[in-house]
Amino acid sequence: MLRWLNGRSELAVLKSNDPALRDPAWLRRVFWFVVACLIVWPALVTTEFRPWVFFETENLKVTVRFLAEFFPPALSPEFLQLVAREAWRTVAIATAGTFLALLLAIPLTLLSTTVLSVSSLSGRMQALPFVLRQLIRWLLILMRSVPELIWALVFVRVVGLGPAAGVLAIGLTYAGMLGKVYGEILESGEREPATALLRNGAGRLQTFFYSVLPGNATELTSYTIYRWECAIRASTVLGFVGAGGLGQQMDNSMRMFNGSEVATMLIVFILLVGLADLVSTWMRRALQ
Amino acid sequence: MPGLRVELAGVIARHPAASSQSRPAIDQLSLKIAPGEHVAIIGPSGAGKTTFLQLLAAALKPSQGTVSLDDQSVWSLSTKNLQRQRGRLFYALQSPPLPPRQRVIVSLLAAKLPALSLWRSVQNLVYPQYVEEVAQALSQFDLQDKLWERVDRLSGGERQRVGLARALLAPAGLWLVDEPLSALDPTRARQAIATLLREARAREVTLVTTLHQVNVATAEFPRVIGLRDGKLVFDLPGHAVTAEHLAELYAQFEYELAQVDGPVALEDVALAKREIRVGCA
Repeated sequence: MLRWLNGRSELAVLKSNDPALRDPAWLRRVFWFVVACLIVWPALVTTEFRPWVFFETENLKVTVRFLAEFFPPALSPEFLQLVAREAWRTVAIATAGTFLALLLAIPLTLLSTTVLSVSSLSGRMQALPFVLRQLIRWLLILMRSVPELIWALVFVRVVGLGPAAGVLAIGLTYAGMLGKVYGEILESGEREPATALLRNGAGRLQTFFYSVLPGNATELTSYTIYRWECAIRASTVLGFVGAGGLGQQMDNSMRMFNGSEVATMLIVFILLVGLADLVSTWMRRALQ
Repeated sequence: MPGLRVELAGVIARHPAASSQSRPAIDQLSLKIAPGEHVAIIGPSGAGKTTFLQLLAAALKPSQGTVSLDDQSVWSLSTKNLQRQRGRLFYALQSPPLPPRQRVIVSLLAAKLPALSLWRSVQNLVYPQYVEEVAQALSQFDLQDKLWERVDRLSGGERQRVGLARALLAPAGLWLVDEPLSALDPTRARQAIATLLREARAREVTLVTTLHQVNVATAEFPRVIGLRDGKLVFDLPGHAVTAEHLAELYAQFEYELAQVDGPVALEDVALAKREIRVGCA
């Protein structure tokens, strides 16, 4: 290795313990590993996380007995028909809820994103737009920090038992999540195309349609479909509090200790999530 | 749209990220550009050419001095009016930043946005209007067969020409073009600059372009401004720029002259006559 010393070069034989050969980033890496452990450890203690309990013979027996009840899955035609109807209702709640969330999230994202800020073209964003963006950010936090289950309990009292409460609950919570993540997607994407259009005098919405949306369409779509998948799960949970669909049916079967019926519904569930995954892949490919 | 009048008075400007103590990219610059005038800005790398264009485009706020378009100081306008003023100019970056999956036609229509209502612009996305106008603009730059092509399927040179063709769609009275020839071969470069000048004249718009190709600037432009270290070195008609002027402008940067002189100069008769091979002088 060639080294420059006092202005002249000389060939130096480096030993393996030479400090110049030590990775200077090593200590930082150790530090962050220790920090991560210090954060996770108390969390594991608080939650009494002891996975080995699972494998004690007594507990294994209980588990096996419980799982055995699931077999064989209930496959009678009447029951399958019922499951199909309820599955469709679950998907419908999830789809309508996600659509409602989308309708709420799009304007909130447009108002809160800095990518479409005209005033920040001139250097710093002005005070009023800044305050407005912060307010919307807090509104989004409020919407998603209340769990959909709580929203559903509220709406069940307003609109009565049934799917409408589920749709409203999913719509509100998911609008908060979509709004936040949409904003992050737009802000982490390429800004130059949007800035170039704004600099040539295009309006905010025009810039959104001509540059921001086409530039981020794949990411936005795939996240939205992932949220739709989550909404299918959520609408099942909401069924337990009376919002209808597979969840309500599952609740009934569990109350009657009918493991085979629960098993059938779980299988339908896996199929639904798999379907969402397929749709997502297909849409991404179509947008490529 | 008649050409815009441009005026800079005592302008000092720095890059947004630079500290206020650093050497300004544009230093005490004052000049006027009349409506419909064609101006080329030349100078070595780091002379402040791009910063100069950004100032005219109201993309960069000067730390001192005023930038006026049509006798109206741009930075005293409200955000709304400033945005309207930006709609009256077209600023083409060296490599146009375009969303990858966008089609050529849409990226050209995007230049027209300041003249369109929101309704009209969304309508264009559902089914493109003005197809004929777009095709016309593309054919000026020999790109007519790329009308429905996606921009990420274009070569660097084609992309740059798409960026230039956008100017023909823009409802602008001032074209600010940054290094329009950087990705073009000599033949295409001459063609592109001729088109820009011809169209600018036909529309009576003011054209300001930075150029690396000194020979093109001096041969084609009625007015050439030499910038160095953010200061005005000369401001002359293209034909009055002598080898001495260029030698002064590019002192210690001769290799930049030699480099761009290479392929373009060999074919450029105008340049051969003038013998501005300063690098060897």
